[in-house]
Amino acid sequence: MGAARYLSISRISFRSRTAYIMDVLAGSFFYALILFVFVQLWTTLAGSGHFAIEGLGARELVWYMVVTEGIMLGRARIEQETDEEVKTGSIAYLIGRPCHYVLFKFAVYWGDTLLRLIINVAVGSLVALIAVGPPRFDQAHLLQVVVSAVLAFSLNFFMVMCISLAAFWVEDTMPFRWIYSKLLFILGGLFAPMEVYPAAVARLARALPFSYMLYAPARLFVQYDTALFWRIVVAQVGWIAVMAGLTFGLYGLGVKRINVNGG
Amino acid sequence: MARGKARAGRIGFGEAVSFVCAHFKFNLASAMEYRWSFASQIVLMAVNDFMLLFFWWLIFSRVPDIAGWTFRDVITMQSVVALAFGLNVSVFGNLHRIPQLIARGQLDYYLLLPKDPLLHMLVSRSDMSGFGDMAFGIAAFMMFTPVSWQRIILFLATGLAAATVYASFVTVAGSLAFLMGNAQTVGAQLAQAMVTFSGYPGSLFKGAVRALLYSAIPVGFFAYVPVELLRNFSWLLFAGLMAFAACSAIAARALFRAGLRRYESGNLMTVRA
Repeated sequence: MGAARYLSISRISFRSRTAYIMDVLAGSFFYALILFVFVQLWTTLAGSGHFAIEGLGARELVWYMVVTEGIMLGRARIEQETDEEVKTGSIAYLIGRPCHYVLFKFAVYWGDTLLRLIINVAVGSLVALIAVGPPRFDQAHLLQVVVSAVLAFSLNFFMVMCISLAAFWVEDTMPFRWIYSKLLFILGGLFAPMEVYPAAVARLARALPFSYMLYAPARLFVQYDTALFWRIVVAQVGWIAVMAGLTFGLYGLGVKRINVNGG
Repeated sequence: MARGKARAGRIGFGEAVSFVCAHFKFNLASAMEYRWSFASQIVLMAVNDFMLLFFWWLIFSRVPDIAGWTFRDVITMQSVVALAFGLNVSVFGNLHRIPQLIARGQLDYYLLLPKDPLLHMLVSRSDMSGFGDMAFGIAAFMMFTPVSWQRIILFLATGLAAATVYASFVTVAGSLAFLMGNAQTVGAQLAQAMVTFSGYPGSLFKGAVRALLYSAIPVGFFAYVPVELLRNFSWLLFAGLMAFAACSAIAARALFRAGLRRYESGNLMTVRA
Protein backbone atom coordinates (compact mmCIF):
# COMPACT_ATOMS: atom_id res chain seq x y z
CA MET A 1 0.00 0.00 0.00
CA GLY A 2 2.79 2.37 1.00
CA ALA A 3 4.90 1.60 -2.06
CA ALA A 4 1.87 1.90 -4.35
CA ARG A 5 1.25 5.41 -3.03
CA TYR A 6 4.78 6.49 -3.90
CA LEU A 7 4.60 4.76 -7.29
CA SER A 8 1.49 6.82 -8.02
CA ILE A 9 3.37 9.99 -7.07
CA SER A 10 6.18 9.00 -9.47
CA ARG A 11 3.68 8.33 -12.23
CA ILE A 12 2.04 11.72 -11.72
CA SER A 13 5.45 13.42 -11.70
CA PHE A 14 6.37 11.64 -14.96
CA ARG A 15 3.11 12.62 -16.63
CA SER A 16 3.24 16.22 -15.48
CA ARG A 17 6.78 16.46 -16.87
CA THR A 18 5.52 15.28 -20.27
CA ALA A 19 3.35 18.43 -20.33
CA TYR A 20 6.62 20.40 -20.50
CA ILE A 21 8.26 18.19 -23.08
CA MET A 22 9.80 21.17 -24.91
CA ASP A 23 11.61 22.11 -21.74
CA VAL A 24 13.05 18.60 -21.47
CA LEU A 25 14.03 18.63 -25.14
CA ALA A 26 15.75 21.99 -24.58
CA GLY A 27 17.89 20.33 -21.92
CA SER A 28 18.81 17.68 -24.48
CA PHE A 29 20.05 20.40 -26.83
CA PHE A 30 22.75 21.28 -24.32
CA TYR A 31 23.52 17.58 -23.85
CA ALA A 32 23.99 17.15 -27.61
CA LEU A 33 26.09 20.32 -27.74
CA ILE A 34 28.49 19.24 -25.01
CA LEU A 35 28.81 15.80 -26.60
CA PHE A 36 29.65 17.44 -29.92
CA VAL A 37 32.39 19.53 -28.25
CA PHE A 38 33.87 16.45 -26.60
CA VAL A 39 33.75 14.46 -29.82
CA GLN A 40 36.03 17.18 -31.25
CA LEU A 41 38.27 17.12 -28.17
CA TRP A 42 38.72 13.37 -27.90
CA THR A 43 39.16 12.80 -31.63
CA THR A 44 41.73 15.63 -31.81
CA LEU A 45 43.64 14.20 -28.82
CA ALA A 46 43.46 10.66 -30.16
CA GLY A 47 44.73 11.91 -33.53
CA SER A 48 47.69 13.71 -31.91
CA GLY A 49 49.20 10.38 -30.85
CA HIS A 50 50.19 11.72 -27.40
CA PHE A 51 47.01 10.88 -25.56
CA ALA A 52 46.64 7.16 -24.98
CA ILE A 53 44.80 5.35 -22.19
CA GLU A 54 44.86 1.58 -22.19
CA GLY A 55 41.65 0.21 -23.69
CA LEU A 56 40.05 3.63 -23.98
CA GLY A 57 40.18 5.26 -27.39
CA ALA A 58 38.17 8.19 -28.73
CA ARG A 59 35.13 5.92 -29.24
CA GLU A 60 35.13 4.69 -25.62
CA LEU A 61 35.72 8.18 -24.24
CA VAL A 62 32.78 9.58 -26.21
CA TRP A 63 30.46 6.75 -25.09
CA TYR A 64 31.76 7.19 -21.55
CA MET A 65 30.56 10.81 -21.73
CA VAL A 66 27.21 9.75 -23.17
CA VAL A 67 26.64 7.90 -19.88
CA THR A 68 28.17 10.42 -17.43
CA GLU A 69 26.53 13.50 -19.01
CA GLY A 70 23.33 11.51 -19.50
CA ILE A 71 23.19 10.98 -15.73
CA MET A 72 24.40 14.49 -14.87
CA LEU A 73 21.83 16.21 -17.08
CA GLY A 74 19.17 13.54 -16.70
CA ARG A 75 18.81 13.80 -12.92
CA ALA A 76 15.78 15.82 -11.86
CA ARG A 77 16.65 19.16 -10.28
CA ILE A 78 14.74 19.02 -7.04
CA GLU A 79 17.29 21.01 -5.05
CA GLN A 80 16.04 24.51 -5.89
CA GLU A 81 12.45 23.55 -5.15
CA THR A 82 13.35 21.82 -1.88
CA ASP A 83 15.50 24.76 -0.81
CA GLU A 84 12.59 27.14 -1.41
CA GLU A 85 10.12 24.89 0.37
CA VAL A 86 12.34 24.96 3.43
CA LYS A 87 13.14 28.69 3.27
CA THR A 88 9.61 29.90 2.58
CA GLY A 89 8.09 27.50 5.09
CA SER A 90 5.82 25.89 2.48
CA ILE A 91 7.27 22.58 3.67
CA ALA A 92 4.76 22.91 6.52
CA TYR A 93 1.96 22.16 4.05
CA LEU A 94 3.79 19.18 2.57
CA ILE A 95 4.60 17.42 5.83
CA GLY A 96 0.91 17.28 6.65
CA ARG A 97 0.28 14.89 3.76
CA PRO A 98 -0.15 11.16 4.37
CA CYS A 99 3.35 10.36 3.14
CA HIS A 100 6.87 10.99 4.35
CA TYR A 101 8.32 14.24 2.93
CA VAL A 102 11.68 12.70 1.92
CA LEU A 103 10.05 9.68 0.27
CA PHE A 104 7.56 11.98 -1.46
CA LYS A 105 10.49 13.92 -2.93
CA PHE A 106 12.19 10.64 -3.89
CA ALA A 107 9.09 9.56 -5.81
CA VAL A 108 8.80 12.94 -7.57
CA TYR A 109 12.53 12.84 -8.38
CA TRP A 110 12.29 9.45 -10.07
CA GLY A 111 9.20 10.37 -12.08
CA ASP A 112 10.92 13.47 -13.42
CA THR A 113 14.28 11.75 -13.94
CA LEU A 114 12.82 8.88 -15.94
CA LEU A 115 11.52 11.07 -18.77
CA ARG A 116 14.76 13.09 -18.99
CA LEU A 117 16.75 9.87 -19.00
CA ILE A 118 14.74 8.29 -21.83
CA ILE A 119 15.23 11.39 -24.00
CA ASN A 120 18.91 11.72 -23.09
CA VAL A 121 19.63 8.09 -23.92
CA ALA A 122 18.04 8.61 -27.35
CA VAL A 123 19.82 11.92 -28.07
CA GLY A 124 23.21 10.84 -26.68
CA SER A 125 23.19 7.54 -28.53
CA LEU A 126 22.32 9.28 -31.79
CA VAL A 127 25.14 11.84 -31.46
CA ALA A 128 27.71 9.19 -30.48
CA LEU A 129 26.61 6.74 -33.19
CA ILE A 130 26.99 9.40 -35.87
CA ALA A 131 30.30 10.69 -34.49
CA VAL A 132 32.20 7.55 -33.47
CA GLY A 133 30.05 4.54 -34.30
CA PRO A 134 28.48 1.95 -31.96
CA PRO A 135 30.01 1.12 -28.56
CA ARG A 136 31.89 -2.14 -27.98
CA PHE A 137 29.31 -3.31 -25.49
CA ASP A 138 28.01 -6.80 -24.77
CA GLN A 139 24.24 -6.61 -24.33
CA ALA A 140 24.43 -9.43 -21.78
CA HIS A 141 25.76 -6.82 -19.30
CA LEU A 142 22.98 -4.31 -19.88
CA LEU A 143 21.11 -5.24 -16.69
CA GLN A 144 24.23 -4.72 -14.55
CA VAL A 145 24.82 -1.28 -16.07
CA VAL A 146 21.18 -0.34 -15.50
CA VAL A 147 21.37 -1.50 -11.85
CA SER A 148 24.48 0.62 -11.30
CA ALA A 149 22.85 3.64 -12.99
CA VAL A 150 19.70 3.31 -10.84
CA LEU A 151 21.84 3.21 -7.70
CA ALA A 152 23.82 6.21 -8.99
CA PHE A 153 20.66 8.29 -9.45
CA SER A 154 19.41 7.26 -6.00
CA LEU A 155 22.72 8.21 -4.37
CA ASN A 156 22.55 11.59 -6.09
CA PHE A 157 19.07 12.12 -4.66
CA PHE A 158 20.20 11.67 -1.07
CA MET A 159 23.30 13.84 -1.58
CA VAL A 160 21.17 16.63 -3.04
CA MET A 161 18.58 16.32 -0.28
CA CYS A 162 21.28 16.69 2.39
CA ILE A 163 22.42 19.93 0.71
CA SER A 164 18.87 21.24 0.26
CA LEU A 165 17.86 20.47 3.84
CA ALA A 166 20.80 22.57 5.02
CA ALA A 167 18.46 25.48 4.19
CA PHE A 168 17.01 24.91 7.67
CA TRP A 169 20.25 26.40 9.01
CA VAL A 170 21.82 28.60 6.29
CA GLU A 171 20.39 31.50 4.24
CA ASP A 172 21.32 30.17 0.83
CA THR A 173 22.30 26.65 -0.26
CA MET A 174 23.09 27.58 -3.85
CA PRO A 175 26.86 27.91 -3.31
CA PHE A 176 26.90 24.38 -1.83
CA ARG A 177 25.12 23.14 -4.93
CA TRP A 178 27.80 24.71 -7.15
CA ILE A 179 30.51 23.01 -5.16
CA TYR A 180 28.63 19.71 -5.26
CA SER A 181 28.34 19.90 -9.04
CA LYS A 182 32.05 20.66 -9.31
CA LEU A 183 32.91 17.76 -7.01
CA LEU A 184 30.87 15.56 -9.33
CA PHE A 185 32.79 17.07 -12.21
CA ILE A 186 36.22 16.44 -10.67
CA LEU A 187 35.93 13.49 -8.31
CA GLY A 188 32.92 12.01 -10.09
CA GLY A 189 34.78 11.73 -13.40
CA LEU A 190 32.23 13.67 -15.47
CA PHE A 191 34.48 14.41 -18.45
CA ALA A 192 37.21 11.83 -18.09
CA PRO A 193 37.48 8.39 -16.49
CA MET A 194 39.63 7.74 -13.41
CA GLU A 195 42.19 6.04 -15.67
CA VAL A 196 43.22 9.53 -16.84
CA TYR A 197 43.70 10.78 -13.26
CA PRO A 198 46.95 10.67 -11.29
CA ALA A 199 46.94 7.62 -8.99
CA ALA A 200 46.56 9.64 -5.74
CA VAL A 201 43.55 11.62 -7.06
CA ALA A 202 41.94 8.43 -8.42
CA ARG A 203 42.38 6.76 -5.00
CA LEU A 204 40.79 9.74 -3.28
CA ALA A 205 37.90 9.73 -5.77
CA ARG A 206 37.23 6.03 -5.21
CA ALA A 207 37.13 6.60 -1.45
CA LEU A 208 34.37 9.22 -1.83
CA PRO A 209 30.78 8.82 -3.09
CA PHE A 210 31.01 11.08 -6.16
CA SER A 211 32.64 8.59 -8.53
CA TYR A 212 29.86 6.08 -7.81
CA MET A 213 27.37 8.45 -9.41
CA LEU A 214 29.06 9.02 -12.76
CA TYR A 215 32.29 7.11 -13.29
CA ALA A 216 31.05 3.74 -12.01
CA PRO A 217 28.11 3.13 -14.40
CA ALA A 218 29.98 4.71 -17.32
CA ARG A 219 33.08 2.58 -16.76
CA LEU A 220 30.93 -0.57 -16.63
CA PHE A 221 29.33 0.49 -19.90
CA VAL A 222 32.57 1.03 -21.83
CA GLN A 223 34.70 -1.67 -20.13
CA TYR A 224 32.62 -4.22 -18.28
CA ASP A 225 34.21 -6.29 -15.53
CA THR A 226 32.13 -8.58 -13.25
CA ALA A 227 34.42 -8.22 -10.20
CA LEU A 228 34.35 -4.44 -10.62
CA PHE A 229 30.55 -4.52 -10.93
CA TRP A 230 30.17 -6.18 -7.52
CA ARG A 231 32.66 -3.81 -5.90
CA ILE A 232 30.75 -0.86 -7.34
CA VAL A 233 27.33 -2.12 -6.25
CA VAL A 234 28.54 -2.76 -2.68
CA ALA A 235 30.03 0.76 -2.52
CA GLN A 236 26.90 2.35 -4.02
CA VAL A 237 24.57 0.58 -1.57
CA GLY A 238 26.87 1.50 1.33
CA TRP A 239 26.97 5.19 0.36
CA ILE A 240 23.20 5.27 -0.19
CA ALA A 241 22.72 3.88 3.34
CA VAL A 242 25.03 6.55 4.79
CA MET A 243 23.50 9.46 2.87
CA ALA A 244 19.92 8.28 3.42
CA GLY A 245 20.63 8.07 7.17
CA LEU A 246 22.05 11.60 7.07
CA THR A 247 19.07 12.89 5.04
CA PHE A 248 16.48 11.47 7.45
CA GLY A 249 18.54 12.72 10.40
CA LEU A 250 18.76 16.26 8.99
CA TYR A 251 15.08 16.24 8.14
CA GLY A 252 14.18 15.09 11.67
CA LEU A 253 16.27 17.89 13.20
CA GLY A 254 15.09 20.47 10.66
CA VAL A 255 11.34 20.02 11.03
CA LYS A 256 11.69 20.78 14.75
CA ARG A 257 12.82 24.27 13.71
CA ILE A 258 9.68 25.03 11.68
CA ASN A 259 7.55 27.80 13.13
CA VAL A 260 4.16 28.32 11.52
CA ASN A 261 2.74 31.78 12.01
CA GLY A 262 -0.65 32.67 10.63
CA GLY A 263 -2.24 31.09 7.58
CA MET B 1 4.09 56.02 -28.99
CA ALA B 2 6.91 53.55 -28.38
CA ARG B 3 9.06 55.33 -31.00
CA GLY B 4 8.58 58.63 -29.24
CA LYS B 5 9.48 57.04 -25.94
CA ALA B 6 12.55 55.41 -27.49
CA ARG B 7 13.86 58.79 -28.66
CA ALA B 8 13.22 60.27 -25.26
CA GLY B 9 15.29 57.49 -23.70
CA ARG B 10 18.56 58.44 -25.42
CA ILE B 11 21.26 59.51 -22.97
CA GLY B 12 24.91 60.48 -23.27
CA PHE B 13 27.81 58.15 -22.44
CA GLY B 14 28.80 59.96 -19.23
CA GLU B 15 25.23 60.05 -18.02
CA ALA B 16 24.81 56.36 -18.84
CA VAL B 17 27.94 55.45 -16.84
CA SER B 18 26.79 57.38 -13.77
CA PHE B 19 23.31 55.82 -14.13
CA VAL B 20 24.80 52.31 -14.23
CA CYS B 21 27.07 53.08 -11.24
CA ALA B 22 24.18 54.45 -9.18
CA HIS B 23 22.07 51.37 -9.83
CA PHE B 24 24.96 49.04 -9.15
CA LYS B 25 25.71 50.71 -5.81
CA PHE B 26 22.07 50.32 -4.82
CA ASN B 27 21.99 46.63 -5.87
CA LEU B 28 25.26 46.00 -4.02
CA ALA B 29 23.96 47.57 -0.80
CA SER B 30 20.79 45.53 -1.11
CA ALA B 31 22.70 42.26 -1.61
CA MET B 32 24.98 42.99 1.36
CA GLU B 33 21.97 42.90 3.67
CA TYR B 34 22.23 39.10 3.43
CA ARG B 35 25.87 38.78 4.35
CA TRP B 36 26.26 35.01 4.37
CA SER B 37 24.57 34.75 1.00
CA PHE B 38 26.61 37.63 -0.40
CA ALA B 39 29.99 36.36 0.82
CA SER B 40 29.34 32.70 0.08
CA GLN B 41 28.15 33.40 -3.47
CA ILE B 42 31.34 35.28 -4.28
CA VAL B 43 33.85 33.01 -2.55
CA LEU B 44 32.29 29.74 -3.62
CA MET B 45 31.81 30.88 -7.23
CA ALA B 46 35.54 31.70 -7.39
CA VAL B 47 36.35 28.26 -5.91
CA ASN B 48 33.89 26.71 -8.37
CA ASP B 49 35.70 28.36 -11.30
CA PHE B 50 39.13 27.28 -10.09
CA MET B 51 37.87 23.69 -9.94
CA LEU B 52 37.11 23.90 -13.67
CA LEU B 53 40.83 24.17 -14.35
CA PHE B 54 41.33 20.70 -12.92
CA PHE B 55 40.11 19.00 -16.08
CA TRP B 56 42.53 20.96 -18.24
CA TRP B 57 45.37 20.24 -15.84
CA LEU B 58 44.58 16.52 -16.28
CA ILE B 59 44.63 16.78 -20.07
CA PHE B 60 47.72 18.95 -20.32
CA SER B 61 49.65 16.69 -17.95
CA ARG B 62 49.43 14.14 -20.80
CA VAL B 63 49.76 16.31 -23.91
CA PRO B 64 51.82 19.47 -24.56
CA ASP B 65 49.07 21.16 -26.56
CA ILE B 66 45.67 20.66 -28.15
CA ALA B 67 45.90 21.61 -31.82
CA GLY B 68 48.29 24.45 -30.94
CA TRP B 69 46.62 25.60 -27.72
CA THR B 70 48.67 25.25 -24.54
CA PHE B 71 47.51 25.09 -20.92
CA ARG B 72 48.39 28.77 -20.57
CA ASP B 73 46.17 29.66 -23.54
CA VAL B 74 43.24 27.78 -21.99
CA ILE B 75 43.75 29.57 -18.65
CA THR B 76 43.90 32.91 -20.48
CA MET B 77 40.63 32.08 -22.25
CA GLN B 78 38.93 31.02 -19.01
CA SER B 79 40.17 34.22 -17.32
CA VAL B 80 38.86 36.56 -20.02
CA VAL B 81 35.55 34.72 -20.27
CA ALA B 82 35.08 34.70 -16.47
CA LEU B 83 35.86 38.42 -16.26
CA ALA B 84 33.43 39.22 -19.08
CA PHE B 85 30.67 36.93 -17.86
CA GLY B 86 31.06 38.06 -14.23
CA LEU B 87 30.93 41.71 -15.24
CA ASN B 88 27.70 41.11 -17.14
CA VAL B 89 25.82 39.17 -14.47
CA SER B 90 26.90 41.48 -11.65
CA VAL B 91 26.16 44.76 -13.46
CA PHE B 92 23.55 43.68 -16.06
CA GLY B 93 21.78 41.17 -13.83
CA ASN B 94 18.63 41.13 -15.98
CA LEU B 95 20.55 40.19 -19.13
CA HIS B 96 19.45 36.56 -19.08
CA ARG B 97 15.85 37.49 -18.17
CA ILE B 98 15.09 39.63 -21.24
CA PRO B 99 12.80 37.06 -22.96
CA GLN B 100 10.90 36.51 -19.72
CA LEU B 101 10.38 40.24 -19.12
CA ILE B 102 9.20 40.77 -22.70
CA ALA B 103 6.88 37.75 -22.72
CA ARG B 104 5.26 38.76 -19.43
CA GLY B 105 4.80 42.36 -20.51
CA GLN B 106 7.07 43.59 -17.72
CA LEU B 107 8.83 46.26 -19.79
CA ASP B 108 6.06 48.75 -19.05
CA TYR B 109 7.82 50.04 -15.98
CA TYR B 110 10.99 50.92 -17.95
CA LEU B 111 9.09 52.45 -20.87
CA LEU B 112 7.36 54.93 -18.62
CA LEU B 113 10.58 56.39 -17.25
CA PRO B 114 12.86 58.90 -19.04
CA LYS B 115 15.91 56.59 -19.17
CA ASP B 116 17.02 54.25 -21.92
CA PRO B 117 14.67 51.25 -21.42
CA LEU B 118 17.24 48.62 -22.40
CA LEU B 119 19.95 49.98 -20.12
CA HIS B 120 17.51 50.56 -17.28
CA MET B 121 16.14 47.05 -17.55
CA LEU B 122 19.61 45.48 -17.63
CA VAL B 123 20.93 47.28 -14.54
CA SER B 124 17.80 46.77 -12.43
CA ARG B 125 19.15 43.56 -11.01
CA SER B 126 22.56 42.23 -9.92
CA ASP B 127 23.82 38.72 -9.39
CA MET B 128 26.63 38.87 -6.86
CA SER B 129 28.12 35.54 -7.95
CA GLY B 130 29.52 37.57 -10.86
CA PHE B 131 32.08 39.02 -8.44
CA GLY B 132 33.33 35.49 -7.85
CA ASP B 133 33.75 34.99 -11.59
CA MET B 134 35.61 38.27 -11.91
CA ALA B 135 37.83 37.44 -8.92
CA PHE B 136 38.66 34.09 -10.49
CA GLY B 137 39.37 35.67 -13.87
CA ILE B 138 41.78 38.23 -12.46
CA ALA B 139 43.45 35.81 -10.01
CA ALA B 140 43.91 33.03 -12.57
CA PHE B 141 45.36 35.47 -15.09
CA MET B 142 47.81 36.88 -12.54
CA MET B 143 48.78 33.49 -11.11
CA PHE B 144 49.15 31.33 -14.19
CA THR B 145 50.14 33.62 -17.06
CA PRO B 146 53.08 36.04 -17.41
CA VAL B 147 52.25 39.41 -15.89
CA SER B 148 53.24 42.87 -17.05
CA TRP B 149 51.44 46.21 -17.02
CA GLN B 150 50.86 46.02 -20.76
CA ARG B 151 49.34 42.53 -20.45
CA ILE B 152 47.12 43.55 -17.53
CA ILE B 153 45.79 46.55 -19.48
CA LEU B 154 45.25 44.36 -22.54
CA PHE B 155 43.53 41.72 -20.40
CA LEU B 156 41.13 44.31 -19.00
CA ALA B 157 40.50 45.87 -22.42
CA THR B 158 39.82 42.52 -24.10
CA GLY B 159 37.68 41.50 -21.11
CA LEU B 160 35.54 44.63 -21.56
CA ALA B 161 35.25 43.98 -25.29
CA ALA B 162 34.32 40.33 -24.63
CA ALA B 163 31.72 41.48 -22.07
CA THR B 164 30.21 43.81 -24.68
CA VAL B 165 30.08 41.06 -27.30
CA TYR B 166 28.40 38.69 -24.83
CA ALA B 167 25.87 41.26 -23.59
CA SER B 168 25.01 42.25 -27.16
CA PHE B 169 24.56 38.65 -28.29
CA VAL B 170 22.35 37.74 -25.33
CA THR B 171 20.32 40.94 -25.84
CA VAL B 172 19.73 40.05 -29.49
CA ALA B 173 18.85 36.45 -28.54
CA GLY B 174 16.48 37.72 -25.83
CA SER B 175 14.91 40.23 -28.22
CA LEU B 176 13.66 37.31 -30.30
CA ALA B 177 10.82 37.34 -27.78
CA PHE B 178 9.44 40.41 -29.58
CA LEU B 179 8.97 38.18 -32.64
CA MET B 180 8.26 34.79 -31.10
CA GLY B 181 6.45 35.65 -27.90
CA ASN B 182 8.01 32.96 -25.75
CA ALA B 183 11.74 32.91 -26.50
CA GLN B 184 13.00 31.88 -23.08
CA THR B 185 14.15 28.47 -24.25
CA VAL B 186 15.77 29.71 -27.45
CA GLY B 187 17.42 32.62 -25.64
CA ALA B 188 18.77 30.36 -22.90
CA GLN B 189 20.07 27.85 -25.44
CA LEU B 190 21.90 30.48 -27.47
CA ALA B 191 23.51 31.90 -24.31
CA GLN B 192 24.35 28.36 -23.25
CA ALA B 193 25.97 27.64 -26.62
CA MET B 194 28.08 30.79 -26.28
CA VAL B 195 29.28 29.81 -22.80
CA THR B 196 29.84 26.15 -23.71
CA PHE B 197 31.99 26.83 -26.78
CA SER B 198 33.95 29.48 -24.87
CA GLY B 199 35.24 26.83 -22.48
CA TYR B 200 37.24 24.86 -25.07
CA PRO B 201 40.19 25.67 -27.34
CA GLY B 202 39.10 27.41 -30.52
CA SER B 203 41.42 25.21 -32.58
CA LEU B 204 39.14 22.21 -31.95
CA PHE B 205 36.50 23.60 -34.28
CA LYS B 206 36.95 23.56 -38.03
CA GLY B 207 35.02 24.31 -41.21
CA ALA B 208 31.38 25.31 -40.93
CA VAL B 209 31.36 25.18 -37.13
CA ARG B 210 34.31 27.56 -37.00
CA ALA B 211 32.56 29.93 -39.41
CA LEU B 212 29.47 29.80 -37.19
CA LEU B 213 31.56 30.64 -34.12
CA TYR B 214 32.84 33.81 -35.78
CA SER B 215 29.44 34.94 -37.07
CA ALA B 216 26.02 33.81 -35.84
CA ILE B 217 27.31 32.73 -32.40
CA PRO B 218 30.32 35.05 -31.99
CA VAL B 219 32.29 32.94 -29.51
CA GLY B 220 35.41 33.73 -31.53
CA PHE B 221 35.23 37.41 -30.53
CA PHE B 222 34.12 36.55 -27.00
CA ALA B 223 36.84 34.02 -26.17
CA TYR B 224 39.30 33.11 -28.93
CA VAL B 225 40.40 36.51 -30.30
CA PRO B 226 41.29 37.80 -26.79
CA VAL B 227 43.56 34.75 -26.35
CA GLU B 228 45.21 35.40 -29.70
CA LEU B 229 45.78 39.04 -28.73
CA LEU B 230 47.29 38.11 -25.36
CA ARG B 231 49.51 35.56 -27.11
CA ASN B 232 50.60 37.62 -30.13
CA PHE B 233 49.42 41.19 -29.95
CA SER B 234 48.51 42.88 -33.20
CA TRP B 235 47.01 46.35 -33.50
CA LEU B 236 44.95 45.24 -36.48
CA LEU B 237 43.34 42.36 -34.57
CA PHE B 238 42.84 44.58 -31.52
CA ALA B 239 41.10 47.22 -33.65
CA GLY B 240 39.01 44.45 -35.23
CA LEU B 241 37.89 43.17 -31.83
CA MET B 242 37.01 46.65 -30.58
CA ALA B 243 35.14 47.45 -33.80
CA PHE B 244 33.20 44.20 -33.60
CA ALA B 245 32.30 44.86 -29.94
CA ALA B 246 31.14 48.43 -30.72
CA CYS B 247 29.13 47.34 -33.79
CA SER B 248 27.50 44.46 -31.90
CA ALA B 249 26.46 46.82 -29.08
CA ILE B 250 24.97 49.32 -31.57
CA ALA B 251 23.21 46.52 -33.45
CA ALA B 252 21.82 44.98 -30.25
CA ARG B 253 20.45 48.32 -29.08
CA ALA B 254 18.93 49.03 -32.50
CA LEU B 255 17.31 45.58 -32.69
CA PHE B 256 15.89 45.93 -29.19
CA ARG B 257 14.43 49.34 -30.08
CA ALA B 258 12.99 47.94 -33.32
CA GLY B 259 11.51 45.08 -31.31
CA LEU B 260 9.89 47.51 -28.88
CA ARG B 261 7.54 48.57 -31.69
CA ARG B 262 6.07 45.07 -31.58
CA TYR B 263 5.93 45.00 -27.79
CA GLU B 264 2.54 44.37 -26.24
CA SER B 265 1.99 45.63 -22.74
CA GLY B 266 0.79 43.18 -20.13
CA ASN B 267 -2.04 43.63 -17.66
CA LEU B 268 0.06 42.16 -14.89
CA MET B 269 0.29 44.50 -11.91
CA THR B 270 3.83 44.66 -10.56
CA VAL B 271 5.20 46.53 -7.60
CA ARG B 272 8.84 47.61 -7.38
CA ALA B 273 9.68 48.40 -3.80
